Amino acid sequence: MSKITDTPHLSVACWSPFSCSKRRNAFTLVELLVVIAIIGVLIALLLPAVQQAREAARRMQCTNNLKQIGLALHNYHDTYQKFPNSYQPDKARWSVSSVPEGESALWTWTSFILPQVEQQNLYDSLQVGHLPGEVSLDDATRLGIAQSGFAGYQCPSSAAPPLNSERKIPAGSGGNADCTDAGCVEVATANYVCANDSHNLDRDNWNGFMGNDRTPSGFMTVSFADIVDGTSNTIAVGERTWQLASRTLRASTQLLMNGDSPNVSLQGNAYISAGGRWSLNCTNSQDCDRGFSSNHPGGAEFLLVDGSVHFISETIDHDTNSSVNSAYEYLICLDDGNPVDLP
Amino acid sequence: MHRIFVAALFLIGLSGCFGSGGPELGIVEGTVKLDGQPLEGATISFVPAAGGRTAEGFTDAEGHYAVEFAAGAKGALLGEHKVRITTLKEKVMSDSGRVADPGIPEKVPARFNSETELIRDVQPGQNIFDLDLQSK
Repeated sequence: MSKITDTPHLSVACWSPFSCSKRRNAFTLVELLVVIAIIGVLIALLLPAVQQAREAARRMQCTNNLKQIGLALHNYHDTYQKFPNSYQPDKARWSVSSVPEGESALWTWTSFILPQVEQQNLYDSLQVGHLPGEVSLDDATRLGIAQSGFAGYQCPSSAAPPLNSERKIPAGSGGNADCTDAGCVEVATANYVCANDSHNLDRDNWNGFMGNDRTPSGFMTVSFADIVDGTSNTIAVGERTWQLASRTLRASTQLLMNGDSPNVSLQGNAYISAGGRWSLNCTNSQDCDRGFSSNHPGGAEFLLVDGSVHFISETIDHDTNSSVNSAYEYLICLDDGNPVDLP
Repeated sequence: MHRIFVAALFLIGLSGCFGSGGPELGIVEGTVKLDGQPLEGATISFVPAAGGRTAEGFTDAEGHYAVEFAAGAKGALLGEHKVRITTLKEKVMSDSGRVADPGIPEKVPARFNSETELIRDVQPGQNIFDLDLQSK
């Protein structure tokens, strides 16, 4: 009859660094607390890394979406020998009257490239270009399709609602000029906006990659031949997020926009295009909702005209005055004559 | 026992290293007056002389401004800056002939904006730049 403590098996199990004098078969409170504290610290170390890995995955998805848009733009150019306009007013109607904001909905570049992003059915069902936008949206089935939208136009890093409640679109007879009342409907949110001008958004005299095709000198469209600075030095499309810091930047809308005013937050151009007047990721005024922005830490992804996607840091050289005199503006303007070395 | 606590403290300290990056900034604020009166609704731009991102701020009713470098980052880059002050906001017409945005005319002379002569040196820490402009 030997006592249990005498067995060699249990004397090996006496492992505590603090005391081996007594036989114990339980942890002390201090030991437990120390273990919990160490595990807590390890988790605290790990969590930011996990969050960063998740953001990296979201950013990769976002980059891929931009890349697909780039391929679609090139395919569009192969078909039509030009890039799409940022939006297209109904020419017949424009010649007799106008396309007033709050009353007319205009098809935008994200709708023109639908066949090139493998969404021909969306293009056909909505009758892009065949029906005026507000007529197309006046039908419940078509409105449902416009509200489903295309997931490839959304960036997962931007925690935007599926429907853009901040930038509404006229349907039927429409609503007020800023489209904030019941005559307007919500369509799917987009996070990608085209580069329109190196300064304020402009309807007539824009110097970026995409604009409306009505200019004083007649009709203007951009083809590869017009990218004088070189396709690797010109931004085609960038991001706009829903919210940054405490500022609501309203993202963008898919397929359609409110009627045409060149440079007003809740009208026309500002829905779907961005200008170089507003610094990348700026939040210091509500007008920042007309620039580029993203929730990726420290900058945003940009599609250049050559089809490549680059992350541009928000510390990029940028002068906000009206002349084209900084790296950010050189990238937006397509014929300033200043190539830029991307970092 | 002590070693475990020291190690835990070290790890906690290490976790503090995962902070935000970005260049060093100096906080910039102050008051803008035009002919002795506080200037409301003006845009103040600090353009780095050596190149880099412009920091901007806006004046309130008392003429007070504080510039922002990037989202949530108050201040401007260190070093010399050209300072521009403007109240201009361009008028926007819509197609239907309505005035979509009436705009605001320029009140500040060109020597404080497009051909600015104002130079300010931003130092680390707090910078108070009170600007007393004369229109003549």
